[in-house]
Amino acid sequence: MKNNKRDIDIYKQKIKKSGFRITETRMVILDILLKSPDKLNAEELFFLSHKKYPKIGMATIYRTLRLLEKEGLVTKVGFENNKAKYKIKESPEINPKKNDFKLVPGNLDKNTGKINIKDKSISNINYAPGIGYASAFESFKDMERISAIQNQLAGWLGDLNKIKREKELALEDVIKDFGKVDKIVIYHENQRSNLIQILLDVQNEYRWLPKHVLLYISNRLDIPLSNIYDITTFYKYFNLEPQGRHSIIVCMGTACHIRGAMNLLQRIVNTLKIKPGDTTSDYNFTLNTVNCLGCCALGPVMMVDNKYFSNPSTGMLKKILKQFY
Amino acid sequence: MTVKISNRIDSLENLKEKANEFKRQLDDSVVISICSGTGCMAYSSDVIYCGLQKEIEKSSSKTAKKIILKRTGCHGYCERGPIVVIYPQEICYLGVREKDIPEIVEKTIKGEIVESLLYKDEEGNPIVKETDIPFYKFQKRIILSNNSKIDPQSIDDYIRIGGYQSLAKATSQMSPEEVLQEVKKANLRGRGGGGFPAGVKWETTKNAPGEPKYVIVNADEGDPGAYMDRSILEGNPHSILEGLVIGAFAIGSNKGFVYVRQEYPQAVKNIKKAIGQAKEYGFLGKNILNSGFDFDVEIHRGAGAFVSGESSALTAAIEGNVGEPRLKYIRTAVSGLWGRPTNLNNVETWANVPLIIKNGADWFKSIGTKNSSGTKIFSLVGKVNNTGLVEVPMGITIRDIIYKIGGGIKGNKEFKAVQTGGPSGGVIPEQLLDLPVDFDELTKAGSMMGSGGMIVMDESDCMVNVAHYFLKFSADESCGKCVPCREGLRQMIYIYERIMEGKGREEDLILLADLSLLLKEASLCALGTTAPNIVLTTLKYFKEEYEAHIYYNICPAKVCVPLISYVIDENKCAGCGICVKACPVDAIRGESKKPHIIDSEICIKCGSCIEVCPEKYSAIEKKTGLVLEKAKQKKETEGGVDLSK
Repeated sequence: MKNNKRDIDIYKQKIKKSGFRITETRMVILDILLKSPDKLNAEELFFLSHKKYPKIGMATIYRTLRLLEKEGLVTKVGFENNKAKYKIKESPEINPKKNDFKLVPGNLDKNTGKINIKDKSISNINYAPGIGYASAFESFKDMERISAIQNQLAGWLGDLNKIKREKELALEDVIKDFGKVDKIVIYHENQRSNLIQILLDVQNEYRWLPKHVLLYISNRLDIPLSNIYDITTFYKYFNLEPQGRHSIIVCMGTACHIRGAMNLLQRIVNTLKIKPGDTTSDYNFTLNTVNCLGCCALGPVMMVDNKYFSNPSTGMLKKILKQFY
Repeated sequence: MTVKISNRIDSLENLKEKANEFKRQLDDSVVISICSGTGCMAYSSDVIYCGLQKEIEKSSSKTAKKIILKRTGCHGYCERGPIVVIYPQEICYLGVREKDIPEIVEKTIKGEIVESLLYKDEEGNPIVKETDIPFYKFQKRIILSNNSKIDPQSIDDYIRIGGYQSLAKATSQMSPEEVLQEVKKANLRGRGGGGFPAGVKWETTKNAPGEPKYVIVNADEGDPGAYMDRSILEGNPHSILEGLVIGAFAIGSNKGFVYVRQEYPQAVKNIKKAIGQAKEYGFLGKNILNSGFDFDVEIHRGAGAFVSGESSALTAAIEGNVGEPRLKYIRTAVSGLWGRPTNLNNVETWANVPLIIKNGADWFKSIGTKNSSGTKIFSLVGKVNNTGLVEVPMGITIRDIIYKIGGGIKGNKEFKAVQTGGPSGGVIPEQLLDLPVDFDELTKAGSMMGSGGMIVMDESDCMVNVAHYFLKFSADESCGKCVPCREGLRQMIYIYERIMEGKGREEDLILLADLSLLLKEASLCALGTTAPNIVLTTLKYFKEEYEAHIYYNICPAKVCVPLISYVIDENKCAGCGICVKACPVDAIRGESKKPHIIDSEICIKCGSCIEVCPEKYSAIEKKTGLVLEKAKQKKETEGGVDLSK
């Protein structure tokens, strides 16, 4: 049904040839029939079209169907409950639908509802769907559709269970986090004046400050979350975003600055393709600048985790960074 | 049943006995002390320590001599790290590497010297003793000299060199008032930059109404390029504690805080351990040395804000609030932590106190100048040959520090200026090099001594760029409370950026001067009032550089990126192609063995190509003034805008 537009055009051409007008109603009904995998009776057509086009009445539907049937665009396919069912008549100009089944000899696997092809060399045999084959064709298609739906359902259920399990695990982790943070708060004697020390300890534990932890601390110490954010955004040491596995720090102290720290930073930015303060997309490196590392004799200095490197060139940088993967 | 023997010391005599006992333990033994300060750690001195340990274990079977290996704090000569000193002979080995380990251990056992690791003077003569090396000879290391002798994580070592005897003397033989008067007489001025007489501050705190009183150690060393306090914290934490307890005794305070930056993890560790050990030995806690005086101390870690090193901001941070300064019409000495009288002093100030009590105020005053007694530790960094920490008596000239101790300018370039005082200080040009270093002289010249950063700059440093760097730092660290600092710094930075791009205007210089004076008068705290010092001093002494940027669009030092271009000299380039690979933006083109060209439109001026161009060719150089030439050409062809206006 993906080539819907094209199919519609072909039908338009056919109607034109026969000298009948292309009205909106006729296009709508053709559209629905094209899109529908099943055969539909007039009532079903009415309901489906009425949603979008309330102007179409039952009489219009019957009239259009008769017309399209006469033109050979639509065929009547059997009866159900005394109501005639219609469907699009396949025409060789139209591309076969994607889910179409090329009928080949083989065995119907009752479990999966799929056909195990015996002779794989026979592939593109086209059987014109007449009445007899049509029903077999239909039942095959149904089985395929049912099994597809069953597979999909099984997949959904599996996903749901996976999500549920992940949520449970995440919840377990969150509860563990609260336990760890609680220990830190108790170590600092539950004092509100020790907030900065508590946050420092939490940051050293996780390397960043997750929001649920901050919410917990806010509740525990009875400090508004906005106050906590005040402190975490004022002091540069705190990270409110997850950090990469390795931290790269470039010293921007005065001694390093006049020895070319800006050039070194530029080289690192070009190699890693991130700005200071950002993390690489694979969460491996976080780049930061700092005011003085205290080893001015080595300036300009780059520190990766706790290893120091003095003024690495671009080539050396690539070699150094490879070690940290 | 095991009985734990208490380590508690309860009198001066007891302490002296212990000191002698520890000294005797070192008789007939050789001590190898290896520097584990941050600078040397960056040179992998911890690897060398482990190597030495293994080697000593291996050789211990071959000799009866006792070899003790110590890890010490910063020795100061960071340029030539890692440093190893052998005691008792005081043999100093510089630039030790892993491959030297077997030789060092072997020769030390035999009592011989490893010649290749000694310092060599200009004629090539080797110097053996640490104190004879020119770098150390001209210093007066009353505080730092202990760093090489003790293991900072051992309180026994500190006791061995006479530690805590001043505290014992103060609590047993002097009254609090006598201690205070002694410190006041010695004219100990705050080493954190303010230079306020410590004794007077102590007195104000003591006499201010309110209980309890607090004492604080300000170890929030935020100046970029300064790491003096760190070396004391990591190398000799007990000296600070001792000074703190003596001060608390004099003021009448029973609770103290040490506010350390989180960015100094080793310092936090060492001071934590020191406090634990001091408690165990009875130098902290209840009834210190049987004097009836109680004192306890807590560690508070900073979290990365430069401005919270200011005293009122620091007290706010200890209270758990945001570290913003407040108006100081009431000093913290009168109303500080939780509204109580609080005495705050810098690490170095506290470290001087035990020395004053031990040797007397007169001894302290004999060092230094009339108004500034004692010594000061500077971190001498930048374009100088001997980078490191130097401790000099006040009154020594800057020229002596840079040339005698620092060994002159690196690469024999021309000296241009020395920046003192960190972001609050200014530059001192060549003509003022003979100024004596002390609290008042430098302030008169427009700079200040500050906490001790001393950054030497040569002809390849652009003053406009340096001023911009410091302004950016101050603006970044500004708390934002007051308009002059918050807005004024920002506007000054915009002006600087325009100047550095070649779009400077004539009135910019007047505007900068106006803004600077405004900040000096109207800012809330010292960050705002001292931030313009760099602008004012560079304008005063280096006006030609600003004018070159504005009127001629050239950067004489070839630093300001928009005004320079990297050019390959056709005659020198051999087409080896090394620079092509080094360039991160592929700006260099050329055929093999033919001179290459740098595309100045793409070039980001990172300097990678200059670094890798082989010395025999040295074909790449920085040029300035090409921007103006290009603009002139453009003007002739298109009639564009005149950049020099």
